[in-house]
Amino acid sequence: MSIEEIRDLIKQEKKLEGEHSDAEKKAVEIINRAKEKAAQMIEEVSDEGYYEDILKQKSNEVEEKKKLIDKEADEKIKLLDQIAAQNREKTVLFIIELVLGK
Amino acid sequence: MEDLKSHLRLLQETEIHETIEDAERQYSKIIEEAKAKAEEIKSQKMKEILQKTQEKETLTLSLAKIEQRKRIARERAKLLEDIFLESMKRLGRLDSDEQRHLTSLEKLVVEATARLDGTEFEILTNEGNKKRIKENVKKLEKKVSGLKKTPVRLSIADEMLNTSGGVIVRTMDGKQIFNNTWEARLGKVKQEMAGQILELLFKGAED
Repeated sequence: MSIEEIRDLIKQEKKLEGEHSDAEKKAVEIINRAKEKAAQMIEEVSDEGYYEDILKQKSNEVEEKKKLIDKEADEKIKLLDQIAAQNREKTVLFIIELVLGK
Repeated sequence: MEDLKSHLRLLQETEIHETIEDAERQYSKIIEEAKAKAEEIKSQKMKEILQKTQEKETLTLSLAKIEQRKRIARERAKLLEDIFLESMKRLGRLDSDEQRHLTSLEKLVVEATARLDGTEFEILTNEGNKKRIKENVKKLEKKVSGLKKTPVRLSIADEMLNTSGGVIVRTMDGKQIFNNTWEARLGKVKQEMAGQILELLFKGAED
């Protein structure tokens, strides 16, 4: 092997070392990107804000159920008023009879 | 020489390829693990949220139901009170029905004296009733005597009673008193028969 060839080999070796170093840098970048993305994914689901919509939806559902109960009470009261109006006269007469003495 | 160079190049390329491939494998692994962790956190958080909202729902709806029952109870009480007020108002208008007034007065005097011991009683009442009793005192004495199986004497007290109707009867020594005024009777009806009256008033309503 001539000196020229050895120099040539050394030159190639350096070039290859450079390429190898680039590849390692790229590998580190890939892994760092993965770590960043992973951290972001975990941070996202750990944040209370992520569940705000669900909480709001649940709260609305409860509010709707409460409204139904209130509405049911309104209807029951309305019905009571109607029935009391129907039975008013005979009840008053019954009480009057009791007061006057049977 | 060229062979050696090619060999070196091949070796280097293989190493670079493996380095990148390895990094990509690690990338996938890190992401997969993060996904699983995120899913676990999410699932735990959802469980907590559902538990909290469930507790809140139970509390809110229980309170709403209690409030519903209270509202209905208040309405029933109000309607019942209205009925008593209406009854009292109507009783006040009975003055025009003399016969009914008299019949009632007799019953109330007889009932009151029957509840007291003794043979001599004093009757306290309002102005209108004083007149009615005065006119019928003999008849009343006869009825009470028959009931007590002993002669009874009734007298009308001078003092005027502030009442819508009915009487207060007391023994002559004042030791025994029976309040049989309309107000007292209505109070007794309210106290003792509210359930029956509610039943009558809301007959046909499901509870």
